[in-house]
Amino acid sequence: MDLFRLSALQLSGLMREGEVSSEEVVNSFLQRIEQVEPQVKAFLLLCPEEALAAAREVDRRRLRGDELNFLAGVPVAVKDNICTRGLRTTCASRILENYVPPYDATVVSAIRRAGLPILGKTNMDEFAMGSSTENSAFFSTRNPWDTRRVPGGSSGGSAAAVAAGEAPLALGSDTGGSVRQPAAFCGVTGLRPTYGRVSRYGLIAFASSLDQVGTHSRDAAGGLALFRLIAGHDPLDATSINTPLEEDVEADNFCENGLKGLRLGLISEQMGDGFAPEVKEKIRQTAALLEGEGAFVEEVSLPLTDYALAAYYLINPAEASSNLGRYDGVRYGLSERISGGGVREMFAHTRGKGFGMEVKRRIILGSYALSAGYYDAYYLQALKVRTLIKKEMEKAFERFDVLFGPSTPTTPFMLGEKVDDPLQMYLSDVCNITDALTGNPSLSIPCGLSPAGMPVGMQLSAPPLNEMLLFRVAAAIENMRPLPPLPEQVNILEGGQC
Amino acid sequence: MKEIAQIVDYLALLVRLELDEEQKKVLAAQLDNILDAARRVQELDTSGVEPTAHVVSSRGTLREDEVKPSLSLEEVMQNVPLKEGSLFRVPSMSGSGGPNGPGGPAPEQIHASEEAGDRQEGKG
Repeated sequence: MDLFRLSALQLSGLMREGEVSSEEVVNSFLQRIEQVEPQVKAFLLLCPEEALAAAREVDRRRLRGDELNFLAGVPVAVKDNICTRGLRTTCASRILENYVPPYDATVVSAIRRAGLPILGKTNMDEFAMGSSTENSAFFSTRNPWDTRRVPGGSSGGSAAAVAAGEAPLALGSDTGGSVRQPAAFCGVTGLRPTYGRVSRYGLIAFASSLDQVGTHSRDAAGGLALFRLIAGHDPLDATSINTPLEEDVEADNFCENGLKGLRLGLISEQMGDGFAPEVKEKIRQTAALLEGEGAFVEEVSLPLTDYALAAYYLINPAEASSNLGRYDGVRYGLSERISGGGVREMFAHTRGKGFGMEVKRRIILGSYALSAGYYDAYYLQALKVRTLIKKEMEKAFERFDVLFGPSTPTTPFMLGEKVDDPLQMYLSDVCNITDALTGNPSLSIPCGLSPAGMPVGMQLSAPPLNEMLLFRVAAAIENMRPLPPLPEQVNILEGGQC
Repeated sequence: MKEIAQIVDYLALLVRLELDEEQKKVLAAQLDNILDAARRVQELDTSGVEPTAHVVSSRGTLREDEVKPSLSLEEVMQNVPLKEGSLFRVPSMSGSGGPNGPGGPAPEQIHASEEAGDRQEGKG
């Protein structure tokens, strides 16, 4: 049996029944990685020794009869902007190329404590700035469904790893779609939790009012199980919410309640001209399925969401320009010193050498939006528009339990297609921005394949703290329409492009 | 276009970001385009609207002021590019006349205890 083909919960079940050991599971994924990684290139760092050691420890504890976490022994991949003690964490940037964190992020502590072996650190757009993983300073990750295409971004490595069967679960981060957009492009399930629901301690800061750690999984049940593991209050993160999860719902039977009476709003702005027909077709088919299950489905117009992208691309760079001020060559990371130069030259030279173009673009754009004379017209105005958008969403949630639409306007684009046009690249996140600005939880789920065989994603959004509802809808859809199997394309070697 | 090029130049200096001429040219053109799109926020009437900086209102949960173990000095300093014992080693701070001005050759030292916090330097 190819263990790597199984979902997180299937693996967990086999291990709990004593059918397989965690070591066997980890070995299966390591073999799969060896087989497909030369084409997919999802990982910046692999740590097979550490993963096997963690797996053997779980197996020992299980034999001893210890009470173990539900997911104990299920391996996981971690995005490379999440700090892992003793494992290099680069943010896919030259400036952090040799950075080895002296501490674990809170989410990493949680998965280590629960006994989930870490397979490695996944590729991403530098500092999570991008939508295709082409902004990685090291190499581009490929879409496992068609290796000529991008996996999306910025958590493209995490999504591609799960899609290719290199990991059953992965952690990513979502600032403005960076979990959901690659989930859609790679045909996996991706959750952006409510802002503050999951600790950001140890997630390398990008845009602090937007950043959130999220999950990639093969299916809804796996995503929910990983979310439950990492969610919760953390005194180390001042923005962390202190609200307990709904403990009454067991991970295995959470979808039994069905969809009867659920009110679902299809966002009409996301079904317009700029959206690919094959994407809209899949969304409409799924809407019909949901109606057939007893859900009430109606289109809803959210006109202010048209302004979300503009507000986001002022707020995000403004916060980034401030957060990235810490990279100066003094305390960690790259340090470029010029003979005879002073400390200011060191700052400028280090940052000039260490940051890639997209990072530079956001620092300049952000400092512009924050500078005297422009602050009110750009940054402050964007924050006010954020308030209006939030109110519009709150109003919509008075009428609907869940809002939905496509996760992306198109199916995955080609490598190189948008890399020189930042505005076009930014537009590929247009469906994901609103929830990032409002802090709502949002889930991208596989919605079938286009006629060309590329994944289409559907995005579901709920009011704050209602992640469970999103997974319930996702599981109901999975019951009606099975998820696509692992893409077989990655088995065909293409030669060593990188 | 010339004006935006000058702005890019000035901002790069403020944020201590070295850019070559080609990068400046590209960034100026792209900044112009992106700002054109971002200016859409100005179409909306926001009079009387409060800005939202954080979507979750903080309940201000404060922890007890207790001394707890933290990382060792050695761990805190493990990624320092150039150090001397518990000190960061950096080029002269006083000798530099400006972001691109002359720098003095003598290295200066900053105490780790003062710099290891969450200060964000390097920004103008």
